[in-house]
Amino acid sequence: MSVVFDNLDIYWAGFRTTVSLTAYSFMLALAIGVVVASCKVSPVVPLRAFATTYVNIVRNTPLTVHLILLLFGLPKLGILLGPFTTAVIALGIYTGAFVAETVRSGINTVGQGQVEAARAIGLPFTSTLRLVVLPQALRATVAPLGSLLSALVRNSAVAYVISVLDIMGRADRLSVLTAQPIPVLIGAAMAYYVITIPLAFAINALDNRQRIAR
Amino acid sequence: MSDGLVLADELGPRGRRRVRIATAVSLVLLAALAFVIVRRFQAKGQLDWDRWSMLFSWEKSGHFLFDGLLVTLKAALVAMALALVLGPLGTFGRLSPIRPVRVVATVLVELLRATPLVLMIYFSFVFISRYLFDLSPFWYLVTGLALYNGAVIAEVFRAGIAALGRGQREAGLAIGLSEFQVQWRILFPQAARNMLPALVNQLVTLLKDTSLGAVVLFPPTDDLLSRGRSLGEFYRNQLQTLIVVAAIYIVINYALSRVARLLQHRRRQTAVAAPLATLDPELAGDAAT
Amino acid sequence: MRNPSWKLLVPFLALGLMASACGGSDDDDAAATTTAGGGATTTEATTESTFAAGTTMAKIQAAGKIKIGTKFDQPLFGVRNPTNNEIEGFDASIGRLIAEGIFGDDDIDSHIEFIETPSKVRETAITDGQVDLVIATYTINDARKQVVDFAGPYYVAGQDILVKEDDDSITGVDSLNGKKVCSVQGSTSLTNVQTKAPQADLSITFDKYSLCVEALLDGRVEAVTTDNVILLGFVDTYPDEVKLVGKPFTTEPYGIGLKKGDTAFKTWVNERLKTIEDDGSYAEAWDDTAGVTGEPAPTPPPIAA
Repeated sequence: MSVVFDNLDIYWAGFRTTVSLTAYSFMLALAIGVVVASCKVSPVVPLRAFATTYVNIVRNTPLTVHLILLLFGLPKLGILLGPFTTAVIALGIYTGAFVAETVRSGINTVGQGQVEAARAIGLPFTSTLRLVVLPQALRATVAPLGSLLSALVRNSAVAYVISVLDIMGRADRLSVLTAQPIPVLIGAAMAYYVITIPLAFAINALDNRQRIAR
Repeated sequence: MSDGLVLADELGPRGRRRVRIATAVSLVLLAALAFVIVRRFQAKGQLDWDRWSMLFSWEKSGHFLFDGLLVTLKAALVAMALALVLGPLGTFGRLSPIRPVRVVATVLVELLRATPLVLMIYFSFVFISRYLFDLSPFWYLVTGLALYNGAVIAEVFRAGIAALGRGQREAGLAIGLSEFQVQWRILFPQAARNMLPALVNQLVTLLKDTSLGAVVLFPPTDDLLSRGRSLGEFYRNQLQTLIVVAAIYIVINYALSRVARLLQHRRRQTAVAAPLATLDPELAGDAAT
Repeated sequence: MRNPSWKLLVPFLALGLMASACGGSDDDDAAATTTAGGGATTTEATTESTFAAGTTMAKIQAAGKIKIGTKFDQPLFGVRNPTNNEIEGFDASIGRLIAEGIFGDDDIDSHIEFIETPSKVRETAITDGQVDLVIATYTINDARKQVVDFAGPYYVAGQDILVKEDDDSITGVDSLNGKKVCSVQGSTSLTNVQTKAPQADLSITFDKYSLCVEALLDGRVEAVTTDNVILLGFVDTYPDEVKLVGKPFTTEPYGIGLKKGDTAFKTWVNERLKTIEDDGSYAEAWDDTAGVTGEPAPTPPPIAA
């Protein structure tokens, strides 16, 4: 296990990369998710079709395929991005599909009665959405979104196959270098636990609070 | 808006006109996007037929990929079967009245769930091959998958049991059953039935996760993705082969998730306690790869 | 209700068990077995020999199968042909010729099990006994000699650099400093370029050289470096898009890896190697495989003691 302590700086570099990878991807996923969810409930047919196709295609393709396809597909479109950026996009697109479903589901949990009451007092469409539906919908989505964030942290590890130097990527190189894969990997697991375990507790707390509120 | 809210009144003439304009505009934009993408691919020769033709031949590619698909399916099913054995063990452990058992089970399950699946597979490979015995890459993949998904399923069942409410458990104890009997004969069957859609969705996730064996293990498992990669190298059409491979995954997973949806709707009709938001199968709380 | 929990698990379990039971033969040897196919032809018929009891050769002969580790994705040297699941290439052919020394040349492919051994696992495959021999563009070096033994060498390659056809800025290993270079994790190519061009940017690495070449073509990296024969395979694949710099900066003697301490086996393999080099099968194997690029069959290097 001394291997781990001798290379703490490498683990730290990987840790920082994982955190920023997760953060950027999640922001992208939120943006994509909200847009796609809005398209899905929109009365405009092409937008609905686009959103449904997007979700069905993205959700049913493995993340590994997303990563490799983007890494080698984008340059053929004339877009050359580094592995980190490519990973952010892949993770963002992938997670975005799940966010879209979560947001849509959240909107649906708001009772019809709320909307009818809003209409009864004369609120137009956008105000109904902004003042009545979304605040309640958001409360319903926080816990599942937390869950998606946790999944994203764990999924980010896959990015190492396209040469991203996150925790997993550094651990892979380190284990080849030192020929001691087992302690190195255990160290990597610990590095991930620092993020995932507190996150799991937070999600649990959120979920409980929400159940009581309901 | 099949099962959604009606957010506004029926659209009047002005609203309808706005929607028509939006429809036209969005159609144009989407078509333009598609056009640009196709043109760029074509410029780089990616649409040339000689890069695609071999992919539609059974002898040249189809058979090879099909065998890979079989391995993928097999890996998913075997891992699922193993996870279905490990999962309930974890559930009963976490619900055990004996404190040490509860603690150990909780720690194990939470640790396994908190670990990235990639790491689990990589670790299984390294640990087993070095200290135990030699297995084919298929079994390293399955081990990693089974451990991880076993923990996920343990949580699924536990939450399913929790969603049943206390009444069931108390009634069971009241008629004289032991704690374990209550769990095994009353709580677990109901939870399992309720969680069936979630389990089918977990199978979809598993199918996607098998692809990790193609990029993490060396040599890789001989599954759909790794065969797709070596096919792409052989015929020098990596991108095209990958697209076909993605299409295969999509078709199979889509079909499976439709099955899950069907099951879920049948569930909802028999009034049962609704699953928690975090466990709604559509949302797939553990959207791991 | 009797015990309905069974009713739910049983279908899943049954499916899983059935799945693992059926097709056992093709999964347990995952990326391993190949089907029979055209083996190397020898200029003279080789008949089965007899070996002293207890030697590895005798054990292999008794088992009826020799397990050879090779690459499945190295053009010209070790490639799996998807149309017939056969392993083709110079390394594979040498493997067949050596195996013929034990089994004779009658239907040699039925006696060989080719197992994929990517760079990272070549040593463990030997020490764990997964394979009897490794013939996989396997460079002999002192570090590896601590763990395994080598017969041969049977070929001498040199590490070289692959660049885009129109790139004239890279003329040798020194000009790699400050450039983005791609290689494979766990290979000596990577460590060599780290020593000889310490300022080279090696942040992008993959698990296969073909991905490095893809990255080169995309402009993601400026050079790919590994043994010239491996790069030759890619020049063959993309004739007008890439070129070899042509200034090998190391010598890479390819050896046949086998278990450390098995002197009897090593001696026998060396003798067999000498035979096929002398009787023309070596040159024939080269012409059938790597020779399609136009490179003539090399003079085999002297076999180490």
